[in-house]
Amino acid sequence: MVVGLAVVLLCQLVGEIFAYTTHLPVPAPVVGLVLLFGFFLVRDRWEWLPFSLRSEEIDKTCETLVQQMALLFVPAGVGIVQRLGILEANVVGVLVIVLVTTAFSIVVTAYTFRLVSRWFPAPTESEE
Amino acid sequence: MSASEGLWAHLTGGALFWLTLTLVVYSIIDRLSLLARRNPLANPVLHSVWVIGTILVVSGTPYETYFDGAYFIHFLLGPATVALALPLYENRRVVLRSLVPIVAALAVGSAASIGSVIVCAAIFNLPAMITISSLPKSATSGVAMGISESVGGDASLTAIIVVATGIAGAVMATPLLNVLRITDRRARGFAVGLAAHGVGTARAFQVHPLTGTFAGVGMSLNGLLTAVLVPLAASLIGG
Repeated sequence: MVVGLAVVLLCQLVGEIFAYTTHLPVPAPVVGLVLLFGFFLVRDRWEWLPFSLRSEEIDKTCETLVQQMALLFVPAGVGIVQRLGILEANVVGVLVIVLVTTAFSIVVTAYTFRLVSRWFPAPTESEE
Repeated sequence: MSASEGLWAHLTGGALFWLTLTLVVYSIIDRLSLLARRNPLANPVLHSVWVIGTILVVSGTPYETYFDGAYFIHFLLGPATVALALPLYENRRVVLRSLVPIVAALAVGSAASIGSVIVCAAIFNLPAMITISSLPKSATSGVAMGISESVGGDASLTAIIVVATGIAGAVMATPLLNVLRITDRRARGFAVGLAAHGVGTARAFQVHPLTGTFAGVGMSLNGLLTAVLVPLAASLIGG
């Protein structure tokens, strides 16, 4: 758990340094994701890495974080109690934005994905 | 002040109580959601938010006091995004094979998300602060709050709209995509991750690992593209 968390946080920290120093509009956690992905690629090829970096620990930490991701949104969501006034005053518009534009994005994205994957079918097996 | 009132004040003023409450409420609701066979309407985030919110309002607790405790959970949003590298790595071959549809759906979906917010905000004549704060609504919380601040939005308001978007997307995605007869797990996952970030991705992992992985890809890539597009869109409507 400790090694896993350390590796994940280290990736995010390097992401933070990257975003800060380059002034690029890239979110630090996304840079961290790319770095950790690179780490996994390297790990499965280089056998000389210390054992703790090759152990399943990092995978387990990642698994737990991904599995429990929904929980992590609760504190920010509860923040609604702070902004009840402005939301209540614009309740219809806000509801439309939250419901309609989200549905619209899902539909447009899924249709685009399907359309383009028919033009460019995957080289081998395709899903159901 | 009686002894029990003193104890209550002592506990609710500290971080331990609110952190514990968040975990306990979420655990119970998550179990109920499991009993409801993961019905989309039994979304654990949705029900945890209103239950805890009600407790705060009824007990007259300021959000800041609550957040001091809940921050330990909130902080893990960043590491959880980093951790999406694992499912991505495990499914890298199928993701790589789908690169063309991924890039196309990302560009169209991200622009559609931001564009539709601008159109709806204009139709309903929303205050500029709400519009600006809603632009990054499909990006994941930590990312969206940073973007919102950089374009003069209200980061707290953004966080609320982002979580509401995630819940809405997670609840509606399964029935919506079923009605549209989109069966490709890659398309379903990517769409819900792009539009409903981590809450949608968590839902997608409940359905199928492949759906979840593509949701994670959609969420990460849209976090990147939203960070580029929102400042452009903000200068366009603010200009």
